[in-house]
Amino acid sequence: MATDAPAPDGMEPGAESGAALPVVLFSRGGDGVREALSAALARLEPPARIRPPGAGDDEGSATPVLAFVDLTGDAPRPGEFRERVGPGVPLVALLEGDDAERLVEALSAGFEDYLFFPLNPAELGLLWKGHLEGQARPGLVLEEGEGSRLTMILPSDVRYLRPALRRVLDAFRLLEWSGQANAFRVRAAVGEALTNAVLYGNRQDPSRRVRVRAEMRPREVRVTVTDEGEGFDPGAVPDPTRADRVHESHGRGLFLLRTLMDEVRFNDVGNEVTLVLRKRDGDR
Amino acid sequence: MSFTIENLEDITVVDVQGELTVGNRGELKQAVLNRLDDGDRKFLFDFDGTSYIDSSGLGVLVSLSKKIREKSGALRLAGLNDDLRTLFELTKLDTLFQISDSRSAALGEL
Repeated sequence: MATDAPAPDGMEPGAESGAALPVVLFSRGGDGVREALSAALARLEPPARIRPPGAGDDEGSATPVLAFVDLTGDAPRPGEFRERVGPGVPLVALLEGDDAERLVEALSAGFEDYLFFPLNPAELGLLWKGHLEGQARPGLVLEEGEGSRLTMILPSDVRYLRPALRRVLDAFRLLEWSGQANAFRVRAAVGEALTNAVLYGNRQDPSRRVRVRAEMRPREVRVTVTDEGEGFDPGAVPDPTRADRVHESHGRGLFLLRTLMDEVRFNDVGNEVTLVLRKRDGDR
Repeated sequence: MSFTIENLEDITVVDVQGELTVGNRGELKQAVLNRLDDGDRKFLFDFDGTSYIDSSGLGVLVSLSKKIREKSGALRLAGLNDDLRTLFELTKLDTLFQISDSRSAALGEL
């Protein structure tokens, strides 16, 4: 992969300022990603400038504040960058706005943060501020342990539903009883729980997150989905299969959870649901 | 999810590929409503290439069937796999929709 050449001094607004903090950019060098990032970095407070990766000691300040990685288009796998920037430098993925799959891949490969391209300077400003002040921005965070436990934090955006769901299903498929019928139950029920959390719990508010904990046990799958909404009374949701409700275009999600899972439990507030599916004798 | 819409004589055939879910249902809904506005009245939704429909996708189908009925049109579904058929049965939507075993059967029945 080609990395960017050093930018000549004075080519970027703010680059001549001694106060500009160094960042690095890995990019294919096309599509104006570098130019757009460079211009936006110069307007930050304090400003930042792109210095060549690996320049290190001769640049005065040895450690870059952030490492941006252009993952737009036909980019390489995100996995290789953690090693290249070394420990302690947060990795920021630059992604196409609709590429949630790549985002999940990047976050599970050790990226701390992300920005969508075309670049939104306000988003970059928030990210910059967050990193300088040591606050992590909400993102999708994955912790996987021994294939049996999975934790995710998702932004409240329907684009993350499919990749998040796929992670849960991939983990479930490691169990020997994850045949088609059970995979369908998990897919449908967890999908509905995630959708409810994003749409109705968090009302797609970007400042709110959805937490997912999934445990895959030899005879039981347990998935807990928590949103940051006000909760609701699950007992007040009418049965959508009633003759007077079957024509309604909404209200089937909760019914599907209850029908497909062995156990569905809400917390008192109603912003957290735990789904349990148990292996039956003869399940494949 | 992707879909194609083609006309076979007076029947509008909607082929749905992939997953019809909360993330993409709007696009399909609008395309079918446009056809309805253009005067199309007989619709066949072929789900032969559809792996999954979530409750939001089911909701869109219910909503479209209502709109088509309001214009005295007809709608048939075909090509549902076993999982999807189970979904329609669990939600009793098999009582609301006319479901054919195959696309060719549905074309004959519209």
